[in-house]
Amino acid sequence: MNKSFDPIKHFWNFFKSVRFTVSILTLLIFSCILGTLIAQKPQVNIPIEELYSPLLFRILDFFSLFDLYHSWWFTLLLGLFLINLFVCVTDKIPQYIKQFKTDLSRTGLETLKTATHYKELTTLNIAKLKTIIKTKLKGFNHVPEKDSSCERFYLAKGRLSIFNPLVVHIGILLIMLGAIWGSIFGYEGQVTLRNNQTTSTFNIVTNNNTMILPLGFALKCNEFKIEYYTDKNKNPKQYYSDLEIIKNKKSIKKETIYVNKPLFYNDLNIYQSSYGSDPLFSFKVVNKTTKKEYHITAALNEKQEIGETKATLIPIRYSDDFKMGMHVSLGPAVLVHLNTGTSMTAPFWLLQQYPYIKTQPHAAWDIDLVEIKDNFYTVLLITKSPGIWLIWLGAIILILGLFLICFYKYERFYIIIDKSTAVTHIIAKASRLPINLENYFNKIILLCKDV
Amino acid sequence: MGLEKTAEILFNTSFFIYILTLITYSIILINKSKLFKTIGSIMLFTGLLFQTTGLALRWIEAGLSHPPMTNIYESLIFFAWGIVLVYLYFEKKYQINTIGILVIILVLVAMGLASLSPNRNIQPLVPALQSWWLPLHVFFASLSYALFLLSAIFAVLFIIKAQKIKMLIALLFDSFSLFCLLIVGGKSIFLLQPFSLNKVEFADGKIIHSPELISIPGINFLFLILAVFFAFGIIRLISKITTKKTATTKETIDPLSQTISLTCFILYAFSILWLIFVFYTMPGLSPASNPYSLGILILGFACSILQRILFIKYSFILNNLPSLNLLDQLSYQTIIISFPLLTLVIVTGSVWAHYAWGRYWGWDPKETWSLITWFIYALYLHLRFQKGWGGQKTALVSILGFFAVIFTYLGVNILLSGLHSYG
Repeated sequence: MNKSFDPIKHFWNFFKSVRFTVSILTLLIFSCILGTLIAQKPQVNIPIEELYSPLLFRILDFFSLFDLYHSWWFTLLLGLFLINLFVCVTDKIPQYIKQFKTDLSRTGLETLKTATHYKELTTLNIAKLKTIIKTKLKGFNHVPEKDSSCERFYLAKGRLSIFNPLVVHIGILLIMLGAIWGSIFGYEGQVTLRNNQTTSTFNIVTNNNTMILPLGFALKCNEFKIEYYTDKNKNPKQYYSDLEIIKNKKSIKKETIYVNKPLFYNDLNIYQSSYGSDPLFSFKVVNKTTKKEYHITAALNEKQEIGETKATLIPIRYSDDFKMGMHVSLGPAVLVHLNTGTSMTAPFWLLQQYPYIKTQPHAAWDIDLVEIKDNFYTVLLITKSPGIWLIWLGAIILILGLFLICFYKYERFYIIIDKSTAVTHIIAKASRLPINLENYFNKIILLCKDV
Repeated sequence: MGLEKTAEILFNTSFFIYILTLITYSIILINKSKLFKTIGSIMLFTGLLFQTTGLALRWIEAGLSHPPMTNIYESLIFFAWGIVLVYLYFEKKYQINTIGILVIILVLVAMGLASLSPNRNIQPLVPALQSWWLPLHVFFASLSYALFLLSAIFAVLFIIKAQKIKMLIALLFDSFSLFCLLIVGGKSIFLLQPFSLNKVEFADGKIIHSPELISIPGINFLFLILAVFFAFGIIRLISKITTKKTATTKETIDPLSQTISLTCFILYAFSILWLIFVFYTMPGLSPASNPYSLGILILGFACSILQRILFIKYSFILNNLPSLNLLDQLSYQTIIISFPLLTLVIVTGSVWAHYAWGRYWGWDPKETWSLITWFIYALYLHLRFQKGWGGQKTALVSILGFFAVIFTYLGVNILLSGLHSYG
């Protein structure tokens, strides 16, 4: 016997084997577990280097364990999984078609007797039994037998269910293809906008550098607003951005987006991601010598001149609750830096709720913090996820296939009347889960009994 | 606040109905009479009705867009509800009343765990949760987790029945008992002061709903005895499996375990009486102020008693359980229904994430663990379909899968940090 070694066939058989599937699934399970046990890069704020000793860090980093799900070896595993799926699907199609075409109505009685649902009944009146089968058990077909002493009736249900596993695996295949498509051509960026601010670019932040990409249109935030709960914690209930898409100076689309309601435009998705605030501080400044009053508004680290004088004021730090010692809280406060033009003073705190407390009273100027105005900006997430429709399609097919496996089965029922011994054999077979066959099987027995 | 309070009373009522059901289902284990089966089912159904009404009231109180499944407390109550619902269906279809006791114990444990949650009031919804995907996602999750739980129970019973190791069932109930003590005792269990007596604390004139504040003297002692007993049992079980002796037909009752059980009974009874005493004598306290600690303690007591009963009536109970074939088939059937449901949970979650977080998949620990669970059950199905595995081997995979489910559900939130922090 000369068995030639065919490498392609060899590999094919290797990739389609159940052992390969089981190994790949097991490996995927263990690597996923590893990924949840080791803190992944975007998840922690502190540098990962500080969590481990230098040697351990280098070893872990060598296997990209801090970015496991995007590492070369995890991608390789997923690739092998994909190949395994693809090979199995293509390999199984002819088998399923062959199975579908096979006529199982003539399976020998001896084989059928081994089925879990098998019952022997004695039949005295064969003619009556046959009329019962014809009238009360609809769908049974008479199958001619070689052995003339026997008469055989056959009913098959759900033959198409042979293709159920195929549907499931095609679904998974589509999901994976969609995911690959998305990971190659998709991206995720961010943009921050204030009220009435317009942008035509957005930023993509990768590991070390920031890329600025054009949007292809102008995006304007008309208004950003926050709704709060009315209970004592005053947590934000929802936040909205009134967005406007402008192309060639013409307004194309106006939409309010909020968490859970993004804006889809062209192939870009715009999400309400979060928000932030640069508060604006209003000061009342009185020159003690000229008795002149000035009103100044400044943002953090913004230098403002006090009227026509040469003096300048810069708010350099903001605390929404200024603490004295451990327990005394004095409410919102701002650390300001005053430059009178002639002399420099050390920065001092101004308290909004307690204007009479002056940490460092100035000889020439009297400054009060009058108002702190929230100046919100909206943070938008901008993504492009091509191939997402393929993922949803795959998911629908996958779920459909799984439910089909659950409820749609290939069931076969045989009634074989042996005229010579006056014995009727009743057999029910199913591809999987014989437990649900019982009902119809029992119905047949009930009808054919005592005839 | 009115409806929320009523809902809580309804949950407490259903909790106590389930405790009463435990008695009926214990009788079903050792008695073949059909009457008790009917009574048990009706009681369980009544409990379910109370719980359903409670959930509905809570939903009405919070508003239509705020279903009662947004924190770990509500989620556990909802999970318990799912278990009872799914179990009742299977009980009606396959007459598996004898396994009910295990199911009810786990339902009670889930509700007891819920009571440990510090935030039991209706809380304002964070913006990300304000979506109609939420009820869909959680509903499928509850059903699928409940089915996986049933599958694991069938698998455990299959192994118990197939192995005929008496110890296994005793250990199972011992572990329940230990778990109950852990819930009631909290941290005080690990403090090695046999008779610590804490004062009941008040905050803003209200009693804080935390079992830890009502310290039960001797509970740590009880825990210690049971833990040692449990460890002994495991060692004996391992030695029994490794030596592979043919099982002796005549079961002897060894005096040591008898004495230990008796000590446990006395300590349990003492703890329960102490708790009742505290509830009725301390000002401002009543059994209703913290019903779960009392309930869970009773449950632990019941587990200890049951363990003894099971030991004595072992062979009868073993025969009374569903047949090996049915257990194997049901363990499989539950998985084949819950696997598509788990897929639905993952898919609805990822559609939702696409709308709320701007990505359909981000390797968040919760997402990853749900995928791990999915892989394990996919493995189960392939081993069954393709390799033709069955019986004890797949039963072990099913139990393993359920551990993954529990980790996905609770472990991820307790041990790992991620976006999915609301249970």
